[in-house]
Amino acid sequence: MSALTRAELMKLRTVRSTWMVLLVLPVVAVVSLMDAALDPVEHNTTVADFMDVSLAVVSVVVAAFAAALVGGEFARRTVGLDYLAVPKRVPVLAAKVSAFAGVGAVLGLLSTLLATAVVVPIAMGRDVALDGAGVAVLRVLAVAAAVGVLAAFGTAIGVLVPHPGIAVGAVVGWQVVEMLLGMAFGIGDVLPIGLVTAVAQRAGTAALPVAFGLLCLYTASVVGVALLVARRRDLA
Amino acid sequence: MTSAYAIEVEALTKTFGRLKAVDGLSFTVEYGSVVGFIGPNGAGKTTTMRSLVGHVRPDAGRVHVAGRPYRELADPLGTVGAVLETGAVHPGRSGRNHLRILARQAGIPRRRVEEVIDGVGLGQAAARRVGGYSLGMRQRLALAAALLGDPAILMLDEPANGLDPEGIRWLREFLRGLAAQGRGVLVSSHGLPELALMIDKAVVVGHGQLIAQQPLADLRKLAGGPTVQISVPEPDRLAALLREQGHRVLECTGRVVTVAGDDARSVGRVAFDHGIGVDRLLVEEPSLEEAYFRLTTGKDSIR
Repeated sequence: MSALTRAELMKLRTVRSTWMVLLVLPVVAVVSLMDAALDPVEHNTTVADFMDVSLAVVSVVVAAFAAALVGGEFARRTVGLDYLAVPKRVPVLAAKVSAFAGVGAVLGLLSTLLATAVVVPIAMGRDVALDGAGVAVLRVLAVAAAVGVLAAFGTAIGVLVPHPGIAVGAVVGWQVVEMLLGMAFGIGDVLPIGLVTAVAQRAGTAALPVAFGLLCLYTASVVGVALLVARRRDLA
Repeated sequence: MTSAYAIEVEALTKTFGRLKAVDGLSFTVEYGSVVGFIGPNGAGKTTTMRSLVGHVRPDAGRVHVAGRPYRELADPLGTVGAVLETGAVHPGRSGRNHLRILARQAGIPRRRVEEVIDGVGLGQAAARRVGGYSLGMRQRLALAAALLGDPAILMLDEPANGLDPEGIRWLREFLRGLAAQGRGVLVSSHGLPELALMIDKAVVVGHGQLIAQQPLADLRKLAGGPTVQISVPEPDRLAALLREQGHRVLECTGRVVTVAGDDARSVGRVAFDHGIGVDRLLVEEPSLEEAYFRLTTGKDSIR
């Protein structure tokens, strides 16, 4: 891990907002599972179906968290200090992306583990077939990685939208647009936030790497644009 | 040191939209000197300083620190320390952690953080969240960040803002001490009387252009040089007598006659020879403030 990434992780460790998210996110993840107890069960309902709302909410919270903190760095101009220490901007921004991806993956892992622990007893009580242990572990790891990638996506949004409130609005707005597109055209599963749910549902199938790869492609594109914009942007 | 100059700005030009913030500006800062960067608000001082550290991309011209563009420095914080914005700190983070993060980014040993905290007198406040700092404490924190790499060049934008008189005195002695160690310091400030006590040279700018780049003593001469002020009961009579004897009377206000030059003995002799009682007689050196206003008259704020 580079010194820059370690410095970014130290930034996260030394502000309360990170710890607040760490405390609030599991609660949000569990509360969002309420639909698992209420949704009608059909013959093809899976454990992953019970978790989809929770995963979508966790993904948006993590992406918004990254967008808010990075957007805040530009709004407060603290990023200027980063550029003083390391004048070449791409390594600085790459360190932010990788640090948030790492933290996002950890948050995704914790949330998915917790969600699984809550959902499994519900599924058993409602006669929904449980996955094998291998698929369950793969799902947890794949979702954690997907949430990490989405955190990188949120970081890029924070770079592009240099204001914490507006950056959060952009992430939430993005999700709303995804939902609308999903309802109108049925393409929700191939859009960035929807892909986290898709990854969970496709654990143990050949479609998993495709869904994960598509999410990485979206994120790489947004991160690429963010790097290009930030390289040329004046801190005036 | 890879260059004779700590800072070189050559024909720097920067435009934001329709506003030309800096227009062909050139000046230098030598090692071992404190240079005051003076001008009205909107004169282009901050844009120039930001260009020097690569925060702003010049449209034209050359900005070098230690002989090369900031982006090409192998050890940026070890070469240049900059205080550009005291508010650029996360309010929820402690001063110590703020410095530790910067040190980690720049590969500076952690013990150096404690050294600069002591050096700027931040002491126990370093453990507190920056959101609770006074403006003066934030200035000290920003200065600590600038000194973290023990740089040979310092660039300080309004470092005296928010400092109490004791803090200003401390800053003055601190900067003079840095220059005595051979470091080059560029400092902008609106506190001209304070600045006059710490700088060797002044770079005066207005509307993004260079107005003057002079040693402090020469700058004072530009303001008209010294004057003799004599306070007498018959100022008009004395003024006429002085003119007769070849003195250049600049003004006669109330009981005070102001005469160009520093020959107080000769002015006093005229009054004595003609039986005019003298209440007060003194030689006034023009202040940096007077020099500044003389140079920038009509070059009002553009922002």
